[in-house]
Amino acid sequence: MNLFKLSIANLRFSALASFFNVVILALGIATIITLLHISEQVEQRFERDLAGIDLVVGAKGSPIQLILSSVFHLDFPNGNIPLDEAKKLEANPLIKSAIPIALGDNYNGFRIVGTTADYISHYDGKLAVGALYSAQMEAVVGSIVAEKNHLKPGDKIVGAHGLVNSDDMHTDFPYNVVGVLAPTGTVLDRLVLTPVESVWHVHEHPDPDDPEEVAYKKAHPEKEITALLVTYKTPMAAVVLPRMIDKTSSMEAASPAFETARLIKLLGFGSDTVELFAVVLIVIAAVGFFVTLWSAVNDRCYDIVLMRCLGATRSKIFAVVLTEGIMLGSLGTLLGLLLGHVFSCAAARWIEATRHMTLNAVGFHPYEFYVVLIALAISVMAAILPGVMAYRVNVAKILSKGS
Amino acid sequence: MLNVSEMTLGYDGTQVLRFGGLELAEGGQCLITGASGSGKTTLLYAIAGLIPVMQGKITVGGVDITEFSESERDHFRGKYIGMIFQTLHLVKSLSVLDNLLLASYVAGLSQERKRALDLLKKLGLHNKKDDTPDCLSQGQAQRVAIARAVLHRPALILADEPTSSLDDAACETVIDLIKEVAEETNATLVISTHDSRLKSHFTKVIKLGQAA
Repeated sequence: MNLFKLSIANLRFSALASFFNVVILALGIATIITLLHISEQVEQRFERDLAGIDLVVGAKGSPIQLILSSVFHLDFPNGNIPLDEAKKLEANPLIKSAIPIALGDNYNGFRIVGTTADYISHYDGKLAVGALYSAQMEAVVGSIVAEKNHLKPGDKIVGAHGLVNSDDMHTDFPYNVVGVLAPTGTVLDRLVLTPVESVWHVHEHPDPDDPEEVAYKKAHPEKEITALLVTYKTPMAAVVLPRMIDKTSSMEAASPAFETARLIKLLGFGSDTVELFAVVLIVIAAVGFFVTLWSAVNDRCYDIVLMRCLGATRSKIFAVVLTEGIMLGSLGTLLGLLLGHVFSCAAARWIEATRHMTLNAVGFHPYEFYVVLIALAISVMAAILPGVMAYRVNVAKILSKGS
Repeated sequence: MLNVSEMTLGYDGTQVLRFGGLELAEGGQCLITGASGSGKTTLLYAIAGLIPVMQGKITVGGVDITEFSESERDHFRGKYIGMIFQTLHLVKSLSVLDNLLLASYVAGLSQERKRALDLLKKLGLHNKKDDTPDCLSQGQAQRVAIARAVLHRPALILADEPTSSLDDAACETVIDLIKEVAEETNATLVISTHDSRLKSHFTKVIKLGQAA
């Protein structure tokens, strides 16, 4: 007989209530850990995709939309910007590099991006097989694109107009796949990359049946790109460039870091929300513990009296109740950790499948340590009041009442 | 061995009992009787150190327990006193054997598993050692409780109405058993009861009057 054996026996005696409370705490902790993992992964993923891009210059419109479309390749672009205006900007001495991107078509739902080889090297993209494109209508495909469509160098692919799957195929302008990229864990994996000239070439001749397209071509006879991804040469640029672009050109400048932070906040992926959620769930579990232990102490009033008569001090009785609380807490926390990691992996898979975002939710989040610590601390706190009640049981009164 | 001076007892500052005094030698046996409300149970709990004494002294084996703090009294009770009750026998969540060992554990004594098993065997409960108290009859549970009370060979055994809920035959068995185990370890025995059937078993009987 020892403290743990006694506590386990007591917990087993009220097995159902103990079990439910352990499950509630476990679910709370699992949810928090999943949220921590996923929000961190999403933020890290955004960060990787930002990859040090300081400024995105595109057509006027919503800055979030500009970032989403040109950096994360999730939304539709605001519009296009004239090439000569973009070229003028590139020459600005405050700019270290400016990578042009031209959007417009997709291949089986994967975006075809007209850009320079700098774009690939910006994301540390390495060729798995084949070579980089060197001529118009040659294409390099990202690892996921290649995997899903079984592409290899030498294949021909046909783009469809628009950024989502459509029937409007550019059958007259097939691309030659010349290379496949190794996985990078960035947006690069989901793109088809080709020189900007290819995009121009495909769209040079507007569909005569589409009056909108014809009218657009007539109004914008000059060459266009969708956006320019800018890296600053000096921090000074952050102060000068965005304002200058917004004021003096037909283009708009958006800071990806700022807009992404705003987006994360809007989506509620922020740490504040996670923290609040965490507190609510753990408090619910703590209340459950409290109620279980409280009613257990009430139910076991006579057991407590008996133990006191056998020579147990008040402190020993208190220790028994506290140990039960700690055991419930540890069990719930352990189960929560396990479930949390299972949930995280499942959620990452689901996001990967439905949101076109590869996440890696394996491993420990540094905050997990604090979650465990807080959960245990709260279990102990929830056990203290029932423990005090057990501590204060009036043996003589209960004995004279009972017999 | 047990020496109770003239004393007053009570709960929360209200006097319940004025007691004339009691002296018992080692191995001595005594019955405290009286109508319900006469304070015999209160007296027993005071000797057990479960309630503080308002005035007077209680010495067990030469030690005045009224000078002890509450936790010192708990330790003392665990070590030197065995208690038996009318209905309060066993902890429901533990097996019969663990109920015996629990007594040693909470008293901070070494857990003599072999002696516990021997005692159970002697009381014919050896085959019940792994059962929960729910599986026992009232009489069996009481026998386990008696075994537990003498497990660590206490100098003093206190029994509170040990036979009141039993029929005549069981009453005989239980009182004989209690006396037997007490005599085996030469323990002093004090029983508080209103059960007049016990009177014939004891030479020393103290009758308490109505509560003051």
